[in-house]
Amino acid sequence: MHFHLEKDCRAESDCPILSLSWMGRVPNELIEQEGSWRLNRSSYYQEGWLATGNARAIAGVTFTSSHSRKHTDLPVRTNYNLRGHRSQIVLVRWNEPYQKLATCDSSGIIFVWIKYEGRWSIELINDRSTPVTHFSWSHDGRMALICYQDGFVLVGSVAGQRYWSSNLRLSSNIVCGTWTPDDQQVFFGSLTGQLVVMDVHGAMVSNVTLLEGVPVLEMSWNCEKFKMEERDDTTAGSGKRRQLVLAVSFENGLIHLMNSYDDVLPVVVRTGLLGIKMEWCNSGELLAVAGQRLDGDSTPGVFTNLVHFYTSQGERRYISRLPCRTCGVTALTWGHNGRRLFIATGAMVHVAWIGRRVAPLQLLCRLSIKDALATEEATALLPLPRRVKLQLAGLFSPTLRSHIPDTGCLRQFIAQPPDGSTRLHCTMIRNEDDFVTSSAMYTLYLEHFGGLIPLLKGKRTSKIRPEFIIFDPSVSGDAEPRPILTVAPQREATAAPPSDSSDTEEERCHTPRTARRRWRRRAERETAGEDEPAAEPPELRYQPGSATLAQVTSNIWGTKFRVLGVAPNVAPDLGQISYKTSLLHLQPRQMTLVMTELSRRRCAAGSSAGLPGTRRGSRDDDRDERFRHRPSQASVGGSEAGARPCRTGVSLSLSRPAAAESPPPPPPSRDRGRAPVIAADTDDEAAAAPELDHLRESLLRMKHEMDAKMRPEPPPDPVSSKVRVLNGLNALASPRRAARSQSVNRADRARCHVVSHGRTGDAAAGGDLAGRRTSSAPAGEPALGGAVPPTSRPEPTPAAGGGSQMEAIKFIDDDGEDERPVAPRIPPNRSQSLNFISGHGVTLDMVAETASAPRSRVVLIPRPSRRLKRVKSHSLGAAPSGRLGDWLTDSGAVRQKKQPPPTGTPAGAGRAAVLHAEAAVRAKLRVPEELRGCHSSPVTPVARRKERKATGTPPISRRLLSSPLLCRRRMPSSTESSEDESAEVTRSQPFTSLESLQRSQVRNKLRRGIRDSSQAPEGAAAPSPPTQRRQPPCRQLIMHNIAPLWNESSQVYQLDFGGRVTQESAKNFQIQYCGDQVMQFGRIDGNAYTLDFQYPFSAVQAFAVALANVTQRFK
Amino acid sequence: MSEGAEKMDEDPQYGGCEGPDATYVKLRSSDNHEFIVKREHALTSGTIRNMLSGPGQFKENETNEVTFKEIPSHVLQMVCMYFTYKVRYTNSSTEIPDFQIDPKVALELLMAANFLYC
Repeated sequence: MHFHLEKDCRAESDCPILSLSWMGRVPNELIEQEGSWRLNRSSYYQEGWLATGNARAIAGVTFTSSHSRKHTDLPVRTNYNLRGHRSQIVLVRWNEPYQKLATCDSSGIIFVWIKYEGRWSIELINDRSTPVTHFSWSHDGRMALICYQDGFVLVGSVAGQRYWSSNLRLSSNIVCGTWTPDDQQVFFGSLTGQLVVMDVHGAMVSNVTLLEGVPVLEMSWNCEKFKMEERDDTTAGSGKRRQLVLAVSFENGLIHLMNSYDDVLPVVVRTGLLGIKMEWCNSGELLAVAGQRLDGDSTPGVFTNLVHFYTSQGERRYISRLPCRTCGVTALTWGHNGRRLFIATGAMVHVAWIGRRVAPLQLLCRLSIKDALATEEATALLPLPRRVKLQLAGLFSPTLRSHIPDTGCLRQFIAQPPDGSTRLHCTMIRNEDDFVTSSAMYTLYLEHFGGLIPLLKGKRTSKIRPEFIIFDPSVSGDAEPRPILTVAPQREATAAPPSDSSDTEEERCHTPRTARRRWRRRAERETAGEDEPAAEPPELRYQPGSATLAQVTSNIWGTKFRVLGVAPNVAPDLGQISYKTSLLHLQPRQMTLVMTELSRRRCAAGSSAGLPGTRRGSRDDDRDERFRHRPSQASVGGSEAGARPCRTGVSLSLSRPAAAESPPPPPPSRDRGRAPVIAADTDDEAAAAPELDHLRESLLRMKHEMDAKMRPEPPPDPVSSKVRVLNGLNALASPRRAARSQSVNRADRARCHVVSHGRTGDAAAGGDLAGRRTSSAPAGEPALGGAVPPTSRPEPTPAAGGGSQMEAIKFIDDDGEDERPVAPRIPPNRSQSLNFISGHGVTLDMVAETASAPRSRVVLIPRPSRRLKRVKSHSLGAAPSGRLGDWLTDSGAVRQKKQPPPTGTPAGAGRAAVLHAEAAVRAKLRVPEELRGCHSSPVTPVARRKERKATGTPPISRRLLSSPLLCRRRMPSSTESSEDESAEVTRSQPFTSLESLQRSQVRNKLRRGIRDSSQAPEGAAAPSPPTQRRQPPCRQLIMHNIAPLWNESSQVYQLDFGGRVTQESAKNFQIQYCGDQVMQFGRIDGNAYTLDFQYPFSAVQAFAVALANVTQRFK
Repeated sequence: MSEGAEKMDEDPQYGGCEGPDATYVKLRSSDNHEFIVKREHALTSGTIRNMLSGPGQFKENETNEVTFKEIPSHVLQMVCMYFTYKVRYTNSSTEIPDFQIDPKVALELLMAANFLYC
């Protein structure tokens, strides 16, 4: 075997880690089927979550990856700090089949966490107010075993139901428990070296003394930790199955390897270690044992930590020494199916790479070279072939992946917005430790690994005005790139109440007075009830007189703030914050931010945003809004014609039928011409030439169809709708269309996510659920969706809809829906999430479906199919050959054909469309086998099977998919897309909410700014002379806070903080930029706030905004 | 070089490097050093295995001698030591020591290992 330690500073928390547990990651996009997620074994174990329980009552859940590539797509959030416990967390245990996490603290409270909609929330609470000594999930994940210090043992279900409990009145305490591999018995180890055996119903079976008077530490069988495969033939494999071994570790460093509890001749392993932590690797071949050497240095406080590996026969395979000498080993766990070993020594977690075989010479050489190199960048300079270099660089890729500053780059890190859609989750804590001036100090910490990494520190400078300075972080000593961590002994509970990440409740903004009252109440409660000394978060140690990085200045009223950069590495003008003055505090705060965009790269992207590349690069359709005008510029003018004649041709041929069919007002007609160009514009160069002919042909053909369809009566007539469906069939079945969709598919690789939903959506409810832009571009139907003039949208008249099959399907759908119960209305206060719903409607309710079934399990597919893996690796839209795409259309055709000829009844057709959509969604899961055959064969049993599955889905999702409500709801979005051209349109429009007003204003300002030859738009600030800002170094972005919604029933303003905010406060806010919530700030404790932000905020700016907000006074 | 004489001196019970079933093979470095190693050990390297057991297009197949024009002797020596290490500790249940690599030769050794596919 082979073992080497990873050198990674990330694997460090700010307080001792007492427990570790690792679990594979279920991809977000994976949707369960038949109550379980089906996963490919090899890919499942490549990514995972490492749970840490630490002494500061926070459980960390951190993403780990064993990919050697550094920039694999990380999940949206790579770290969760789960707050809720009030004393140190002694145990964390994943339940892998059910994807739950159990955490136990030293006071005996057990939480079971479950992840739902991207956040972890407490599902179960168990509090017996007796310390828990052990917690263990059964191997099938269905049961849990809890041992208490007083000899009480309990077996319950994963859902929280108690099966049995018993008070073992032994002479000594129970310290650990374990399940037998078949989950039929539970074993307990006691302080006096006894082994107690009970069966699964709680009946005592046996009581054996293993080592008289020597406390048992841990027990574990060398079976798989969890049975992830649902095998029916449990007896079939048993013949070749190896003998399972129970390892029992004792305090004196002995380990007994026993075949059963009454094994009279156990293999005795003398490890020579103290404080043993051990765990079998998942395959059961190796037992990792870590501890402190018995005969080590006698000096107190110096530890010699060793890791031993033993085979199941008790032979020692390998010994390694851990570098940490200040703490003993506190926890150990295997990860990534035996490829990684995590060992915690105090606050540090050592990540070891394990190879089961003798390492290849290449790897040994690479490691030797790696040790000699200082940084990963140095590999580029080595005289090695590229492939070898890449392999070498792969060794540098950390197992723990997080968006945390690299060593030495803190200064850069805080001055630039995080990349892409990365969101930083921070905590801001007020620490009044500056006794000299008694001014408030605030520290901004990045949440990581269950701990906090200090980023920035700010101090209030003025007694009267809310003015602050922010210190420059890297002045604290250049020799040490990482800020030094010290733990101040001040007692202040930073743990939030258990309701912290609780899911359902919406956080509230309230009047400050009630909030204050609450804090007082809370503070009283804390001082009265708690005597658990919770440690203070780490401190950024600045040298006295350290340099200032930025200043926050204010007017005397505290309503206008400026953030000024002082240090040379930040821009002099970082931004401004202005609050709308309100005398009576009756209204929620309204703030306007003018932020300087700090990232140079982003700046460049912004100026050249008209290029398709930038669109591809940007994250999602919402964000794209701000670039939306640019393709239109290109298409309206004829300048594009010279460069790309074919494309303009397409757009013309498209606009002609559109203009002919209905007499629209001039601006919408321009719109129509434009929409396809948007699609074509994002097209790849490669995809353009040969396929354009097809494209044009099929478009012409479709034009004929359209003309044909112009004639029939409005959709309510079943006959006409039949015609349409048939037309639709033709188009769907046409191979050309398939080819075209393929090209579009490939072109929109960047937006593949949207595209895929668009595709499913457009068949369902005619794409109302899909993003607006999606419907115009990748749906491939000419002049559709967003391009349809808004005036003609509200009523599905044939004039508007005559354009395409897709529309036809939609209308039929609508008709069908009229007879059904109306879908539950989305309450108006969900307007924020509406974008999300409309963009991802399909996935959304699939996810809801997933989450609503708590009994769903993770099941690994025993034999990984290669095809499945390939499909998994590409997302739907990005399937390289577009085969998936045309497979979908083909299957769509199949589906439609399978409908009996009289599809004319509107309801039936609507249902068909919906079925198709759902089938398509499901198809994403089960693509593998069908990929091949389905190409040409029109009727396959596969399709039928899928149909059956589709009918099995709950009717609510179907209703939602095809709800006429959503259809209407999309309307305003289409106006938004057209308003780029005519700003006046938006002005004249009545605004439904403050939010929409703000958004439109921002957009107007932005647009104006770009029109003025990219002069920076200045909002509240005095506009600088345009002449000297021809080419501004940085853009300035105007943002507003999201208006909270008034809840009539509870009489509070509400905002959804996604579980990150636990206390209501008038200071809580969210900032919106281009339709995205890009920053949120809220109170979690009397002196602690969470601060989450992403592009365009840098840490300095976000911190400044938070500081300006936190002491803000209105006079 | 007197490789012929050397071979004659060897005790026949250890087998020689000749014939299709020879126990030993000869690896020749770029600076003309010869390393006579057990065939079983040399087969650790995928490249050598292909050369020695391929369907006859290599002349090495007959002569049991492989010349590496790119690998100097101080690297080939490490390679041969690795062969022994690998064979010794594969499928054994004894404790595995670390295989020490001098950082000075690590780059060359990596290139050689990459070529030899071991």
